Amino acid sequence: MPRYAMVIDLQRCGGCGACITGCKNENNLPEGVRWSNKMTETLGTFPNVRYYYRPTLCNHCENAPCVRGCPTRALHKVEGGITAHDPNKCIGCRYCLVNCPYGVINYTWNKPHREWENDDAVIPDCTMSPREQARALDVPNWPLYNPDPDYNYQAIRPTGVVEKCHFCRHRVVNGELPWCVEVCPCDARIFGDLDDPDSLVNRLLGLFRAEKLRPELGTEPRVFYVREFCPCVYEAGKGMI
Amino acid sequence: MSKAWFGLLGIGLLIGLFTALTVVVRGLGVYNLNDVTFWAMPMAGYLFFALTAAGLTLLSSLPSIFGLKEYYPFAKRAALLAFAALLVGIMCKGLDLGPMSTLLNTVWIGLSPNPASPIWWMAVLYGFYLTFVLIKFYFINKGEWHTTRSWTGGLLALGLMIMAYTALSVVFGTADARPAFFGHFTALYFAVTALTSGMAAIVLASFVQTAIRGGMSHQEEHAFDKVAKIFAVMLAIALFVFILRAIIGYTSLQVEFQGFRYIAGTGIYQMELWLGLIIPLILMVVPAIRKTAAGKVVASVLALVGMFAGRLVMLLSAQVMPIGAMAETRPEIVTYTPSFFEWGTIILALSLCLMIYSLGVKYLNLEATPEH
Amino acid sequence: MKQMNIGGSEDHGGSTRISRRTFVKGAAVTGAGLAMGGPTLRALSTDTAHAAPGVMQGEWKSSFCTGCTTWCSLQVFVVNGRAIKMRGHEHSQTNSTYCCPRAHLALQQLYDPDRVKTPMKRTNPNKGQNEDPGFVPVSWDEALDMLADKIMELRDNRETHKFVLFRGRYTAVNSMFYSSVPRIIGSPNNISHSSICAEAEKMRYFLDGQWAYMQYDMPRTRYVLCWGADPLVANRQVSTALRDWGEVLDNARICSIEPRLSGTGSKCDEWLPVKPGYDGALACAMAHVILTEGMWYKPFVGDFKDGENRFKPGQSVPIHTFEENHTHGLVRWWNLHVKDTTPEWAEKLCEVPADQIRRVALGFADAAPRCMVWVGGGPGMQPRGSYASMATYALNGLTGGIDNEGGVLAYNSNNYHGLPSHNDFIDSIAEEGNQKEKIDQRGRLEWPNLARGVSGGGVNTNNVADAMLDEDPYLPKVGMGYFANFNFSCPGTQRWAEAMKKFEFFAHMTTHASEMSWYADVVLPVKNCMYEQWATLSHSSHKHTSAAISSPMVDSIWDAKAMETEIPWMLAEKLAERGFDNLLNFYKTFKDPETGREPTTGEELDLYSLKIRTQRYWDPSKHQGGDRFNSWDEFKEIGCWNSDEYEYRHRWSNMGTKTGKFEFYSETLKEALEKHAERHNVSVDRVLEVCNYEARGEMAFIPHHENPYEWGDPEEYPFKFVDYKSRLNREGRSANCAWYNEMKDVDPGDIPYDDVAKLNPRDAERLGLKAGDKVRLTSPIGSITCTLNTWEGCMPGTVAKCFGQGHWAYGRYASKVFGQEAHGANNNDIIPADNDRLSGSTAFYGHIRLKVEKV
Repeated sequence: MPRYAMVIDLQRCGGCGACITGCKNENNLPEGVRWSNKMTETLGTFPNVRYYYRPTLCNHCENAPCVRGCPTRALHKVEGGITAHDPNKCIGCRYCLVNCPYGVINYTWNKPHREWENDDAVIPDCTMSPREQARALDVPNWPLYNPDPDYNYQAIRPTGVVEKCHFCRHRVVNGELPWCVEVCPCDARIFGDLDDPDSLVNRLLGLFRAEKLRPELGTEPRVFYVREFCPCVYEAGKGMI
Repeated sequence: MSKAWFGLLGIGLLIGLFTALTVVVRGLGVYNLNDVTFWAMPMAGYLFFALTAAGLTLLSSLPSIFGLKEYYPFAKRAALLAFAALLVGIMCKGLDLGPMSTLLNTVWIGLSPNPASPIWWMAVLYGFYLTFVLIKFYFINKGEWHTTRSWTGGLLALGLMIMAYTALSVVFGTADARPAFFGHFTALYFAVTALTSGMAAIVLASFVQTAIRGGMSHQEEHAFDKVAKIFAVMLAIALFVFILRAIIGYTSLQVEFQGFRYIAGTGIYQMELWLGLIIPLILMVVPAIRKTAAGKVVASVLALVGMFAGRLVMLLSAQVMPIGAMAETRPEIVTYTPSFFEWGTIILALSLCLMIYSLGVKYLNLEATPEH
Repeated sequence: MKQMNIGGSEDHGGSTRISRRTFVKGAAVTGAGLAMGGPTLRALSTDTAHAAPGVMQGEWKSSFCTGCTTWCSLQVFVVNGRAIKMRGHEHSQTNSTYCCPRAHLALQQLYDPDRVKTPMKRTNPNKGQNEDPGFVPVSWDEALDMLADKIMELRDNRETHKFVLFRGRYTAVNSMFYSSVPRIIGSPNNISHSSICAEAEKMRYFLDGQWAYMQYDMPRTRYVLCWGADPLVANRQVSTALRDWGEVLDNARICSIEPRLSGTGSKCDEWLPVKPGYDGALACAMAHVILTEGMWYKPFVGDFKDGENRFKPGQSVPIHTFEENHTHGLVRWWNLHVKDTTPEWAEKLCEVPADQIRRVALGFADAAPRCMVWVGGGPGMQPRGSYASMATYALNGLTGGIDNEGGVLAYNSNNYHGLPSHNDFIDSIAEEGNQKEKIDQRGRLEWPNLARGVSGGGVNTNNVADAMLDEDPYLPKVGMGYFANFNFSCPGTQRWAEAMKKFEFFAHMTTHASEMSWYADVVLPVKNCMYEQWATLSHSSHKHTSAAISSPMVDSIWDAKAMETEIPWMLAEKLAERGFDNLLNFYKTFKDPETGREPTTGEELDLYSLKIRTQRYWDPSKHQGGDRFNSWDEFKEIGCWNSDEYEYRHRWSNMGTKTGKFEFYSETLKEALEKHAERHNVSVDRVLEVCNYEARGEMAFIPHHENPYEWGDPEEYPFKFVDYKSRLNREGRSANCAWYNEMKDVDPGDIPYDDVAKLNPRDAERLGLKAGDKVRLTSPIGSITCTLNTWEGCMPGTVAKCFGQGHWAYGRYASKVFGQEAHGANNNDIIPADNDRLSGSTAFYGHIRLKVEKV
């Protein structure tokens, strides 16, 4: 059985956000929800200032606190160590939001894609209303509806439960890479099997001192960060008193 | 008076019913909650009522379980009140889960149990606890004060109260990702504040009784003064724990406590401190005030309001500072204002609780004590 | 079938339908891919796209991107006639499967609820921003009848020159519409958007003969100066830059020269925050350092005959002592200017410390020739910007990083086949009209617009508004516009609002009811050319050019037509009905190259024109290089052609300049300016004076520093405005995409669902402003109101703000109240209309002063 992991090469990451959009696209995420997200910082003072960007997603922790705390096992571990979620069992208690130190689980507060149930046309008779367009396209909710996640999650999760990154499990079990990995124009996301000694993730984990987020919590994330977003050079010096 | 009172409760129930229906149909989007401040007013309602129920359960157990017979005049009243508070508390949590489709998923608590989850234990134990509180009241109401089954029911209610309350504390205590829930210190904080709010509730409830029924027996009055004294002691202990919490919160080096320190600068924290603790304590330590009915009423109302604020303090302290990726695009500290529907949930809980109790007062002879 | 339960992990998730067999198969594939490493995995995943029965029930169709002028080759995942995903084109050797975040937003442009679904006409005759046009649906017949009548009226009155066609974005067959329709009708007025795009950047023509965009040899470079360019974010070749940057960081030093910390600036070694308008000084100082230190790349530039470096600060050098190889005029450039442009001199102007200038210049030259100055619009798109644009680019000449490994490369030819000529279809009426002066006044004394060295060779987009308001040379009556929204995209928007009212009849061809549509008499809904019609665009990067085609791949739910083929065809039919059939006959010459059939419908014209344009790819008898396909059907399936690989150093001493060399002293510019002066019977100095340049005499022909020309008194307007492009901008067209608004924070310092102006925290503190305040930015020509954010990446004394929002039309997300109130603010409302007149470029940078006030 594989043990899936992702290495994110921050030096390659361009901070473009394609992973965020790609994820929303693949998994039909409702407005305001990001499974793939980022953490940014602007450090320093002009002109010595840099902007740092770190892509985030569910860490698929080996010791997942969300799984531990979930009262109904709606959050559970599946093949390859993926932290999966079953919306049919989720009671909406949001204890996983309490427990996840990474802020990567979202609760669906409103009906997903409800903006497509709007009946207003900006120019009556000349433009469509969102509902009219969704009907014309014969989609249940939004025009970009991707049925794929239905394979082993739900293509669109219902209102009132949480939802989270599932490493594109529907793709992975079918031999496809997670979509955020595919759409990353920088090759900054590397996906693979920790049990395969030759996998690129293992090669990178051997090359670099990988960083895990909040390691002190003992969650054992399966998402690793290597290298620097901005590995800039400077002239050597000893400073001064 | 009675008509006006029930009319008022009726209005409250109507607002509450509208709220509940809206929430069950549309989901929690009608609340001002989000993925950062996701446990706020409705959850505070749950904590407030459930913990008050814990205090009341203990109080109602004093005569039968602990043999402190002078508290008999409160036993039945506290038992009913504990049931009512617990019921509406659990209802608050129910209205904090999601629409009907989500509520139906709660069957999985039974079908897909996770014993590793404090929330699972909490849910199960509160379920049993509610049952036994009801059973206990049922026996008392039947006049069975000293039968074995009554005693067993009472003991189980007490035991389950302690276990459920512990599970509730552990829910927060084990939240490693959110140190500003104060870890297992929360167990202590919950314990003293639960007793304090229980005391306050019984003091106030006795006055609702007086208001409806008029008059109080001498025995009752005597017991009542005793409760007021314990109330004062509990306030003092709670104040001590409150100060202890402040010291922890202000001296911790963990950044997450910035959330607490922010909340400590807001009105709800001041409400918890002044309305919930200091002013009632002053009122209750001055014998001249403590002995008056008005003094007791004011102190208990203030304490309850303050305790409710305290539940929000406790919840928001660990949430207003967004963690992980949630911090992105958000200010370092987020603000939270409850929506109409969140108030509606609390109004529903309060109205229903008071309605049950008032009906009890009216029809169930709550001042009943064992016949000697 | 047994539910999967492997190794004790349980699954009852969602609606599980995986059998063990499927999973094992999937896992085996994954394992195999991983064992072979990254690239194999990617290739493998492509091949297995249809392997699994549960997912990916669709097809990857060829397309391209119209999100910026990079025009990356793309593929679209189509499921049951619905486009749902995007990626780079797997068959392209340029951007490959890589695409920048813009590509995904294109899906929301396609399925935008606010697309115009039917032709519509206005019912309110009054035109203005505050006049609701009262659009009502009409049939295509009626709409085109109205237009054809108007055109015939012009022809009947012999005033065909009063017909104007505005073009914004386009596809590679655009000339059959953009050029041919006005000419056949008889108008010189096909007005493109080019001068608001990047013309000043193309002033490199006068150094190395390229009136064009360039590609950048990132995989082999050792030093990159991103000069007013933000390749990880915006224009040009963003997809390729994102793909390569991680390795560029390994291999090369990178400097970002820009007044704000850009997306690229956050991933570079050094940031040189240059004061807006002083790029020329900085560039000349770098040249000074490179020359005085003897660091120029001698195999390209040449050397002193005796090997002794005579480039000493302040000292002239005898010309005969230096022998140049592939360059021209180095010593003259030195003597005229560079000898005095010391880093200390530049520091006072551009505020970049002299030692940093020296360090960067030397590091850059040390990497020669594997180094590049990536010149963006920043230094050039300013009044007087031509010379700064040339100065920055001249560093490429000094270091030989031109047409060389790791340097700046020209585009490979896209080998497109020409389209049939319209010359035989121009009658005498048209001939007469075509002779009239163009409406944009290009070529007048004050408008040299020296595209490719030709006086009046380039368009003057933003001047059309003034020309119309002044009715000079005349007032156009009938206009058409497509894929364009000049009211929004040109600085000085207020002028366009007035000018557009003056059209007797305006037909706007657009997907969305934009600000320009607001002034239209008829609006003709067009197809989204990425998904709904046959079309092609080409892209250059990675030493290749790829040309990809799109096809009608999705079910169209709008009554829209292809803008450059179907609509002109229908118009041609309407004109023919009215007795003028030249246009129709012209289009009938677009015969299917396979069958020789004449087109009989607009759809056929759409297909045939594409087949003609791409004939060299798929018709072996016409093949001229690059990928070879044996038939149209074969090419259609793949959808993407690649050129042969770029050959380095082919252009050395064959630059297309007057001397064939890289000209530091531009004989090419000299000739162009002299011709322009001659045309107007004045001296070159007079031309420069009229065009607001400081240079006189020989300075006119060399790259040099000119003091920026600013609008507004520094006392009254203490800040300078830094306009830049969002990484989500599909030019001005993506603001109505839900993702654009939701994802706005991918621009450093920006906030979702908002449009912010950024100020350095110290400036904000000084003004008593804080993040989140509503502020009014006022320039001498107008004000905008937006939200303030404080950001350390903002140079003190400047206000930085993304272009792209501030639509008051376009759609429900782009505007706050459709047709009435803007969401955010349009930078062009406060950017004064000014120009770099040599290139013809509209100015967007350097000249804008403003004040910031709390609302």
